[in-house]
Amino acid sequence: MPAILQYEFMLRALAGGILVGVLAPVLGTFVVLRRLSLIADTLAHVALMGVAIGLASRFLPTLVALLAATVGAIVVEQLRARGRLPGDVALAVVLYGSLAVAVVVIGAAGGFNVDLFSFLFGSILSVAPLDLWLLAALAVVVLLFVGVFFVDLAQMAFDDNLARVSGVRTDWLNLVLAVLTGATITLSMRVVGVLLIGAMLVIPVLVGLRLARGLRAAMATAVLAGVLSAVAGLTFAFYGDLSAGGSIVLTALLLLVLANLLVRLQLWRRKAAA
Amino acid sequence: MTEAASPGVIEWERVSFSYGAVAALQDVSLCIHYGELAAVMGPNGSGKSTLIKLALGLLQPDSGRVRLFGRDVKDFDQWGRVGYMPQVGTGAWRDFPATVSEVVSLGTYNGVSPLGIFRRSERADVLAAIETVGMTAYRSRRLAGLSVGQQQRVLLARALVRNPDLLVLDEPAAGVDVSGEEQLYAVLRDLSRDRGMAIVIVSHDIGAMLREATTVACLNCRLVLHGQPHDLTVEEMSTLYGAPVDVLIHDTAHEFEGALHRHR
Repeated sequence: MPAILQYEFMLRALAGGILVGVLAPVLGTFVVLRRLSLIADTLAHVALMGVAIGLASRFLPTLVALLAATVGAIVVEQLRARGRLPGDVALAVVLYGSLAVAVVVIGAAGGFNVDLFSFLFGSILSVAPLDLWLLAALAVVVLLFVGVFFVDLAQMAFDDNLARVSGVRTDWLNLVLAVLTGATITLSMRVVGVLLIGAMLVIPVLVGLRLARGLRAAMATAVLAGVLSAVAGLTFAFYGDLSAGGSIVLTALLLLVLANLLVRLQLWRRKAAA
Repeated sequence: MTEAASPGVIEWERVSFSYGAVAALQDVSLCIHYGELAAVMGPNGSGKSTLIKLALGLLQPDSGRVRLFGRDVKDFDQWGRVGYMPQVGTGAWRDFPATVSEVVSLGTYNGVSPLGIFRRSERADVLAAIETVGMTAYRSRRLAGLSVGQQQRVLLARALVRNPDLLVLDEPAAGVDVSGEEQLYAVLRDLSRDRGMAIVIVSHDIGAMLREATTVACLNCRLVLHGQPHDLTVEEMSTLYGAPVDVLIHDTAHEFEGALHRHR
């Protein structure tokens, strides 16, 4: 048996990585197509604020982060939907506000420590059984949500106004999508790290969009790229003693480069044949 | 002003709407009926798109009422009766991976469908709508790879597959070539005349609108003119557009043909 599979912590990290590799691209498909990629980064910083408060108060940082991300998702969605501020400006206000609170709380609590680093950049040693159970439960909820409302979400991704005129309840679907995205970001922190989870919502989706024809096929390809990035990235991290989050995201980027090369090669072949 | 005996499909009743301090529509009352092919015209910023968004419930009026099929649009829930085709901008859906069939099949939406993810997109009604707009050869192509004119036709198919009673089109012929435009208006004429569908078109193409529409509503924040195309005078059109306008009309026993030449 390979060494990577002989350690329980590594098996937990791989299971967590696979769950993140499925969850992030499934939600990320709708986030990217609606050009709301900044939402992922914003909610990640809101979650970081929750982690900082949790660590400082010594009260379950993951739970506080989950609560903060949920409230943050609702606030961000309300700001976006009501159009009081331009979408990106509203997100920037929440992002930098949360980061400022996080920095102040971290400073007041005595600065950075190992725990905080594992939340920021992910760590294969830090994935606990509870993290896995929470990720698995979230995966069931997200897959059920996307399965049942796939057509509605596809309508919204295509054109929000068209979706509304078709009778899609875009108001509460947008809210649920934002809350689930916030929860995914928060629970993925231990594996990928809060600063890099946004990349897992975006990069595997770009691989899917480059390679696949059709929305379902693009999502399936994105999930495949996400899982492959997680497993290969964690393997590199284990054998190379590298940061888990960094290795996963760099693997995803490598897949994106390969996907672009493949598309260019196909175009070149088609031109050569013609 | 024309008054038809048939019930109103869309009714704007003394509607006003502002974007902040800027008034977009003031005290507009207008009614569109079954079988009417209505053109909404006016210069940029005249409130055409706002009027349509109010009718579709995408905006709520500051004052006045909007009714769809006799019901206040706030309470309206029969969206299967409405087909909407927004204007296609250059580069729209650049990253969207859906094929033409998938996009048109989105138009068949009729409420939450738990197994919708497994539904085939190439169904008979979808293929028929694609054929109506002459895009059959492109049905497996990605929407993103098509020209703006072709994307317009796909969106028209998406609206038509709903088999609506009301069709709302925003600049439907923008980017469409001459033969495509003729095909588009032939389809709309048939739908309006044979099926009694109410069709509302927002357009800057004055010539095509005067030729194809049965009624014309001219906006400039207020409803300036409303009537049949041949009721419009050169003076009225010149006032509306703020520039000298000549109207050239050919009216025959069978069909109305109009053309309008604008001189700067």
